[in-house]
Amino acid sequence: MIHLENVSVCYKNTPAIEQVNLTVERGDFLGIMGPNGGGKTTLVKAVLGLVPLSGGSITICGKDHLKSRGLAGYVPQFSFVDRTFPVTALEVVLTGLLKGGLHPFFRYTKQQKEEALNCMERVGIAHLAGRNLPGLSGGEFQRLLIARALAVHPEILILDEPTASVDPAFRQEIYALLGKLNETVTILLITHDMNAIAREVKTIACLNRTLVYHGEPHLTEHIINKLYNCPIDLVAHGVPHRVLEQHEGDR
Amino acid sequence: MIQALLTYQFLQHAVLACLLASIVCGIIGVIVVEKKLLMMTGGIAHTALGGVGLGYLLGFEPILGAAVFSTAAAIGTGFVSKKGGKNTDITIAMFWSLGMALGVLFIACMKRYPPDLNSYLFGNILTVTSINLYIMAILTFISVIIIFFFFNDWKAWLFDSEFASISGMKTTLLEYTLFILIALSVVVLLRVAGIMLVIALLSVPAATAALFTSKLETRMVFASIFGIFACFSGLYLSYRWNIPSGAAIIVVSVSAYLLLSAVHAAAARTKKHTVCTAA
Repeated sequence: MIHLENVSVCYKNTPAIEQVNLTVERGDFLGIMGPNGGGKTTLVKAVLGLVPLSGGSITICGKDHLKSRGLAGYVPQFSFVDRTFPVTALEVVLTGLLKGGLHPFFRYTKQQKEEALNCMERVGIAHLAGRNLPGLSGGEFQRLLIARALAVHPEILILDEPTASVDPAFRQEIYALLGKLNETVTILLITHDMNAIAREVKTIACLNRTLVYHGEPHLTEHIINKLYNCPIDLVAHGVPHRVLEQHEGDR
Repeated sequence: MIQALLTYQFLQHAVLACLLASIVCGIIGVIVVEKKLLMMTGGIAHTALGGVGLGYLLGFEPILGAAVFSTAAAIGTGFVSKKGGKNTDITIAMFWSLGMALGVLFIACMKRYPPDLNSYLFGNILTVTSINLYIMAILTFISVIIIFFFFNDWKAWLFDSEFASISGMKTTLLEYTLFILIALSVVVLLRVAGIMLVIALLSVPAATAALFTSKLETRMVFASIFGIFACFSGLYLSYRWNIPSGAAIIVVSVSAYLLLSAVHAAAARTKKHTVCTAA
C-alpha cells in the first residue's frame, strides 16, 4: 500500500533519514520506534508529503504520494498544533471533512456535523463539542486530534506519539480503538511505548536515521543496541507476548 | 460636526475611508494576529514608501505605487518565509529599509518641490481624495470577497496548515493569497493610519476583539467594530483639535485596549475568586 524506495530527507545539509526502503502492506499496523532525532516524524511527514524528499520515491496505492492526498488521516504531535486558535472543538473535527482543492461558499451540512460528533463520540469527547480550544485539557486535545483524523475516513491512519500526554486508562482505550480500526484501516504509529508495540502492532520499523530493522515485533538485543546506540532497559508489562527476545541469562 | 459633515466633501471622504479601513483591519487584522505575521506586515507597510516615492517621481497616483511595492514585498518575504530558516527576519528587515530608502531617494530625485511625505508616513484621513477612496473601496471589496467565499478553507488552513495540506487543500495558493491580501490591506490603511502606524490598526482592534470572543468570525466582526470606534474617535479628535488623524486613531485604540483588558482581567479575577470561595 505504501512503498518507500531509497528515501532520503535532508534539512539544510543535515540528513534526517537516509536510504530508507520500506513497504507497508494494506491492513498492516506498523509501529515506528527509535531514539529522539532518529527521523520518525520526518519519515511520516515524508509519506504525507509535508517535507520534500532529497532522494528516492514514495508511492501510495501505486501512485506518487503527492498525487494521492486525502487518503491519510494524521494525528500530529500535539505540541505542534496551536491550542489557542479561536475555534470550537467541533469546528476542528469538521476540518477533517474538507477534502481537496478549495471550497467556495462552503457550509457544513447537518449530516456532516453529526458525522463529526460521531467521531468525537468514538474518542469520548462528544460532550466537549462546543468548547473552545483553550478550555481543553492536554488529554482532551489529544483525543480531539484523533477525532479529526477519524473524520477524514482515512485508508491510512498516521499517529505521532498519540499517547504522550494521556493517562494510562485512555492509553488503553486508544490502543483498543486502533486495534478495532485496523480491521479496515492501515495504521502507522510512532511511539516510545513498548506496551503498544507489544499489544497491537503487527510489524515494527526501527529508525535511527537509517532503517535498522523492519519486521515482526520481536527485538533482539543487537537491534536495540544498534537503534539506541546503547544498551537500554525495555520492559513490557502485562502483555500477551514478548517484545524482547529471551536473554541468555534470562531464566 | 454633523453640519460640517454634510457640508464638506473632505469629511465625507474621511468617514468613508474610516469605514473601509475598519472592515479591513477587522478581517485581515485578526488573521495577521492569529498567524503571527505582524513583523512581516510591518515590513510590507514600510516597503510601500518606495512606491509612494516612485509615484511622485513619475507622476502617477502614489497609492498605486504603494500597492505594487507592498505586493512585491509580500510575495518576496512570503517566499523566503516558506523556505523557512532564520532568513525571514533578515528579508523583512531588508524590504523594510530598502523600501524606505528608495522612497527617500525617489523623492530626492524630483526636480519639482518635494511633496510632504508626512501624510503617507503618519496618515492624514482629512486629505483622502476620491481616487484614493475608489482604490480603497475596490481593494476592500476584493479582500472581503476572497475571505468570505472561502471562509471554511481559511479557517482550516489557519488552524493547521499541515493537516489542510494533507487533505489536498491548495495551501500554497492560500498562503500567497494571504500575503497579497496583507499588502492590499496595508494600502487601504495607508491614508488613514500611515505607513508607520498601519501595524497598530491591524493588531490593536484584533487584540481587543480577542478579549471578548473565542470564535474566529465573531472576532472579525468585533475587531471591525472596534476599528470603526477608533477611526471615528480619531477623526473627530483630529478635526476638532487639528491634530494628525493617524496618531489620534492609534492613541484612542491603544488606550481603549488597555482599559478594556484591565476591566477584562479584573472581571476574570472576580469570577475566579467567586468560584473558589463558592467551592
